[in-house]
Amino acid sequence: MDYPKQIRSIHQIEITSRCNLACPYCVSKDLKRDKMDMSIATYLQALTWVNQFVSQGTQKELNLAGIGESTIHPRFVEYVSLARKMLGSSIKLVIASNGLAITEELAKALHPYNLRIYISMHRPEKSGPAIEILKKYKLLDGYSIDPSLSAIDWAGQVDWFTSCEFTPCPFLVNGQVMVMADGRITTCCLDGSGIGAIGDIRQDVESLKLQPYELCKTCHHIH
Amino acid sequence: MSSYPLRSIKQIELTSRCNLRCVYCPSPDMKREKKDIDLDTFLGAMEWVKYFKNKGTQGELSLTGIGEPLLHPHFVEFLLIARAILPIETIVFATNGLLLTETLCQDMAHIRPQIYVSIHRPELATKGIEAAKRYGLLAGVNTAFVHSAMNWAGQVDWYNSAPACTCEFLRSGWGVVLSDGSITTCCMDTEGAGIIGQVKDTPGGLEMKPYSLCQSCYQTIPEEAMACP
Repeated sequence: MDYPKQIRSIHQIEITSRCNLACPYCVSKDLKRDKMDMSIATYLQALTWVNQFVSQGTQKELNLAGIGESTIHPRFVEYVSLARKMLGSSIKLVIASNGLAITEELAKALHPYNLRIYISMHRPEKSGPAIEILKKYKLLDGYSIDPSLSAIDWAGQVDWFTSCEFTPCPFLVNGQVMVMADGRITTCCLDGSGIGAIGDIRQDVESLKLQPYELCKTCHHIH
Repeated sequence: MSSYPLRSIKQIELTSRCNLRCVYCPSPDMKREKKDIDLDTFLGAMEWVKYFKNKGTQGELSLTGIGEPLLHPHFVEFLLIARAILPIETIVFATNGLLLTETLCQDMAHIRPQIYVSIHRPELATKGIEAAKRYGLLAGVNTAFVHSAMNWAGQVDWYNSAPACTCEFLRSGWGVVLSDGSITTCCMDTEGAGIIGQVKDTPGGLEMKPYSLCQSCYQTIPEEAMACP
């Protein structure tokens, strides 16, 4: 594969790097960058670039989660509504959530924006009721218990193991990036320290280039 | 009224103790005694297993009830006894995986139980799943209590999302031996309301019947028992 590579989409916007769990198999508990909520200015800037990629036909889906639990952002519903309003009805908006903060009230508020929510079952007793609520409001995208059945060790960043299939890195293959909560753009969704940062959302994103970085050496993905 | 003859011992509850307190399980609030099955009672249960095996109706045996079987201090020995009596039949047990270590899997490998791990605590169950896989003992994992859930016939404050089905315990005549040696009608009998006999009695001649929990259960009572093989 030829590197450096052109960016074709902003696959993920990490609207918060905080989490309400501290799972031993997750990089979140020892994140080596700020645990913070993304500011509205940074978020709008990121959406502007997403809009650009949607217009040029290279982006069809946006994930509003990174390393953190998006539903605990104090302006979560507002951020989702902004994405829907700015990007239109054809883009698929998704998050993965542990479900702890998902209430009937939240689901009702999200319903108009057709956010698809994928439940990661870290706490089954919380995931279950969340799944039921999301089914009711037609927001459920799916659920899994990946740390047990399709595990990764976050490219060696956590003391866990790898049992998932070894597949090509979708970020490098597709020219995807993630915007971290502080506004920096990083090469992939596993970056717990920011060493894969290639720029900032306030820059000309289209001029930034992607290539394999430090974590790729220890990652389960093929590049 | 249909009759539902007892045709096999489907489960033996090795212990009614548990090392978790899941909100969707009746175990935490169980008023029945929390105890490990003793050797005499287990051997008594195996007499019933032998009886049904000779009649050709036994089928697979599970060493699980409402409790975590691996908490039994003599789990491997009891598993060996079961294997001695059922040399080629399927012997299964369900566990939360917390105590499913590499050493234990190694000790069990030659006894060939089929292990189902219920993932109530992913961070604590996973090492056990991997260990069981390595020794060829993993039969499956279970998260149905989340996505194909039931409220234990109204005994817990949870939801039913599992599709309705006919009760196989009544239909096939599957009995459950509780850790105190009682024989009961189904796997959901937290308080022993469906008890029909005791393993210390001479095997045979027991009839099952729908009991109080059947009224609030998501499963339906079969019109009649399965035809005799």
